[in-house]
Amino acid sequence: MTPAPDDPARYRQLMSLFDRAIEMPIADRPIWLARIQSEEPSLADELAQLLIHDGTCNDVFDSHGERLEIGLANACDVLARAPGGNEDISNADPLLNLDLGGRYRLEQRIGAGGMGQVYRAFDRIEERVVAIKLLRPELAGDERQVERFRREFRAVSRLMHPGCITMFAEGSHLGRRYIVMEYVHGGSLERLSQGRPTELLPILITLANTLDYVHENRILHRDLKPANILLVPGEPLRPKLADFGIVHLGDDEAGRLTDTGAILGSIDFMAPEQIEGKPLDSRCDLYSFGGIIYWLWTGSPPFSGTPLQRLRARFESEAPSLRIRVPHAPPRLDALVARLLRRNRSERPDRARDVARELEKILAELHGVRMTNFEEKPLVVTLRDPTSCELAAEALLGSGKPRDAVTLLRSHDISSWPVLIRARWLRKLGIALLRTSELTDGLSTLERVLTLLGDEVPQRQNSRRRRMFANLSCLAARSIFGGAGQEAEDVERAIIHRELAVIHRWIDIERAVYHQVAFARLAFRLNIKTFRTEAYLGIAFMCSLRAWSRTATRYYRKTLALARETSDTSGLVRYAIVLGGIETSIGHDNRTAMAHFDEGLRLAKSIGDVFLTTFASSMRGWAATLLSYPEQAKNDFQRASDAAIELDIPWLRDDAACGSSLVDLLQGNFESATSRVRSLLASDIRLALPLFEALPTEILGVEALLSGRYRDAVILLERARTHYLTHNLYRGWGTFAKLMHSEALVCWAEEVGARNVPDFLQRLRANAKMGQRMSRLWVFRGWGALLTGVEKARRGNEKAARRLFDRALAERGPVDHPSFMDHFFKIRIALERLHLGDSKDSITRILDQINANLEVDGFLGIRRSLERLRNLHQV
Amino acid sequence: MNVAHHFDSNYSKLHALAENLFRKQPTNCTLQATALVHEVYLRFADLEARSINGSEHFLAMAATAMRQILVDKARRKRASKRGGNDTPVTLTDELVSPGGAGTDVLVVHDLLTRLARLHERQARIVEMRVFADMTVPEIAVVLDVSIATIEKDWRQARAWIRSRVDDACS
Repeated sequence: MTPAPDDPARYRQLMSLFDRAIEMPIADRPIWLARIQSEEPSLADELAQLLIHDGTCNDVFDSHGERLEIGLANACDVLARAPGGNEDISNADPLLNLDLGGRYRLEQRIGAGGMGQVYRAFDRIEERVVAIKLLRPELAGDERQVERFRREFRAVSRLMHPGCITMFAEGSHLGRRYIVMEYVHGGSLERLSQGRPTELLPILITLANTLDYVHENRILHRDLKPANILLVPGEPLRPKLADFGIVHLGDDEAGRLTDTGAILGSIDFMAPEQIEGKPLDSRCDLYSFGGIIYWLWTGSPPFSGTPLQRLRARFESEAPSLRIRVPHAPPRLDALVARLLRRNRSERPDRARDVARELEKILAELHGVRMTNFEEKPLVVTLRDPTSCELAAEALLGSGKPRDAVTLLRSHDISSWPVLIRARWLRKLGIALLRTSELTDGLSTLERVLTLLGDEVPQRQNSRRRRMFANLSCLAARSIFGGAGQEAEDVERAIIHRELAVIHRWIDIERAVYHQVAFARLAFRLNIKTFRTEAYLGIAFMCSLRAWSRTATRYYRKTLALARETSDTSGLVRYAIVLGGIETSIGHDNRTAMAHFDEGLRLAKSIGDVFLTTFASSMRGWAATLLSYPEQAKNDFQRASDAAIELDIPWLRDDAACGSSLVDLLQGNFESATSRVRSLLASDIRLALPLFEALPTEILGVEALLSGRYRDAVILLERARTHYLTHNLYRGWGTFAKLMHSEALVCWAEEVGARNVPDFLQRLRANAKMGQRMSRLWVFRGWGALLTGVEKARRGNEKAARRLFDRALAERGPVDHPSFMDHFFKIRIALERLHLGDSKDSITRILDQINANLEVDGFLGIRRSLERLRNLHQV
Repeated sequence: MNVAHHFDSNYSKLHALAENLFRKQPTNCTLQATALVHEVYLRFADLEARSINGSEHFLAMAATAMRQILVDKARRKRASKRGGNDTPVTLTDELVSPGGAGTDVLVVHDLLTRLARLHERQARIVEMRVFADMTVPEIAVVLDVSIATIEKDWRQARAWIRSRVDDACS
């Protein structure tokens, strides 16, 4: 055979054919190769050679370690399946302490099932405990099993619900597939058998709501049993749905990998149709759910006997009544369980949601008895009249007791009311929920109202973002043609869109824009003055996020003019806060920004709305951080956090926690900063609000940067950035992450040499491009030129680099109150000039000056980082 | 962490690696291995001032160093003994496999150089696997790409090099 020419393109082509060949069954290869022979004769021979040399053949290219590890893993599995030997072996498990994927250290086996084993492991990069599920090695060759295993990951990782276990990653290690997921350490539902009903019912309600969410996402669990429901310790205990071993996508026929042949799932909790192998729907999970309730109250499954008897019984007779076994069980619960365990699925409830509502009523009845005894919450019991109930709820909400408002609003069955009243009721419930920890419920309630009123709720779609922003500015321009007339329904819709637009600023900026547009449209049509003001304001704010400073300024002037005419104080608070925010990001005067916040805060206090006061404090804290008034920022965050804890609004509390952590970092209190954000990363809030995964990760990244762990910093900041992008979060945060990412990259390259940083120049270039775009924002001015300059310098174009650095300095301009961004900026320019060959003495002088300034401003964290950089550069 | 520190913590691993490379030597296997490890250390000495990012990164660099040392050694020997011709070489110049068959260091080196032109990352992966016996996850950390990519690259590169080694020997 003649050696082929060394052409990278040809090599790639050859290898893609190779990849295809090894993926197909060996039996199919000859025919396929013959086709290649006729189509690509020059590649065919070589391809055949490659395939001959694929696989192990005991030569130097087979790693010794690899075979040892696989051998051990196999041995361990064989032993693990030997009956009765489980405990002894887990001590001597050779997989223990194995470094999976170079990242996860397996620490303890916590379970084993048909598909594989589950380990507790430590994630070295995230520094957290995780659970890892390993597929049995002998299943690794079975494509169906592997596909099923991966399908579990794909399906479940789509779910974002605090009641479902979170999937972090999947991968394969030496041919064994694994899934990395959240570790829950409160045991499973099994330990609560025959527990107190008042403890069990809230867990079951959460579980039913979770199940409803899962079904809404067209996923069936199909293996519900007490062992698969994990408990998060705490008061109250919270359940998490785990082990979706056999999920399938509801209406995807091809996706049903488990229904041919093998019966999966634990027979005691399986619906009859599941055993018969019929096509399934959500009602099979509801049967299992009924079985779980039965088991929790009685301590045994509905049917008893040998496995075969138990299996047959559910076809032959209905399940025995719960009250026969447990006479004191609530009659309503007995009826519900009986309905859930019906042989004929058409007699079961359709939706988990209905089951949750029924359980809530059962719980309320249980409490009702107790409430008359102890008078815990007399308000809820006495207010049976809807109008006074609604008014009371509003009052509770205004005085910072959203949870009580929720209880009150939920105490009425509104299903038979007229649509409009129902909508108003639900809207209030939704807004109250948004101010509690049940954020997801709040969002879905508000969305339900929109559907009720005939509005469409948008699906996620990235490509529409630009068009939606364009809509914003067009809309505002057309606003003068606003029509007349007020329809109650439209007012209702407008308020909901406004609320959703505000809350989505934390969740999905694209959705925020959508709701803002819808609100503005309605506001102009209804021609209500306060609405119009808010519409202008919202548009101005959105435009400022997008760095359209001119449009933003124009609308914000209009807002101001209109706002002065109105006397809507809570509206005014919002205006003041938002204006402060706009001024911070695109304005030129720190004092104006702070003055707006102060005004907002003063107004909020004057009307006594605790929520708005807290919100304003937190926003002023962020502005103060960005504008470098650290002491003020700390005070504000502290106040916001205290109030948020009192009000029990987790997202506001965590927002303040992130803010204080950033200030702590800059001031050099690394430990308190990291411990705070780590505990955030370990909590559930990041599921409902992805911002609280991104922001803490970013803060950890900045910590790594300041402590000189540059590689870690690059990885963490990249992760944060990806998070901001994939979840459509506000880009301003993402920008800071990117700037810090560039800084970390350059430092890393300085430390280990640019050659050892993968794709160094490309990554730098991408950041520089982004920097140029974001330089339009006042706080980020000059960074574009600076980063482009750094890139040019690293490519050896000294002249261009110097020119760009001068421009960056000019753009940044002199500042009388330098922020931490200014310090970072100056340090980088000085170090780059050193790199370009400026005299050491002059640079030393500049750096000494910066050092002195940092000390005066109290930025000891940046100062520590500067010292490290000076050592690295020997200046 | 400086070089000396990395050396201390990875010494036994490096030594085991080197011993593996020389396993077929009749008598002085340990001595040779020790010598190789020390030579690696000397090559690293000028890096003293810079710190190294984790032990995976250190092993990756050690792999490159070992490869260079073995290649230099093989070249020198051949130049002095046989005037540079391409006749079969002695055991010292062979990479020994668990199955017992040896592979010429220089052949592998040449192929790796060629592979680097075709696909640089794959060449790095082979280097780390063969000369540093690093596992796939370790390599993934050094190169900062996913494990799946490394596994795919490794399978491709291995098949390519094996087919070439056979060509070169036949």
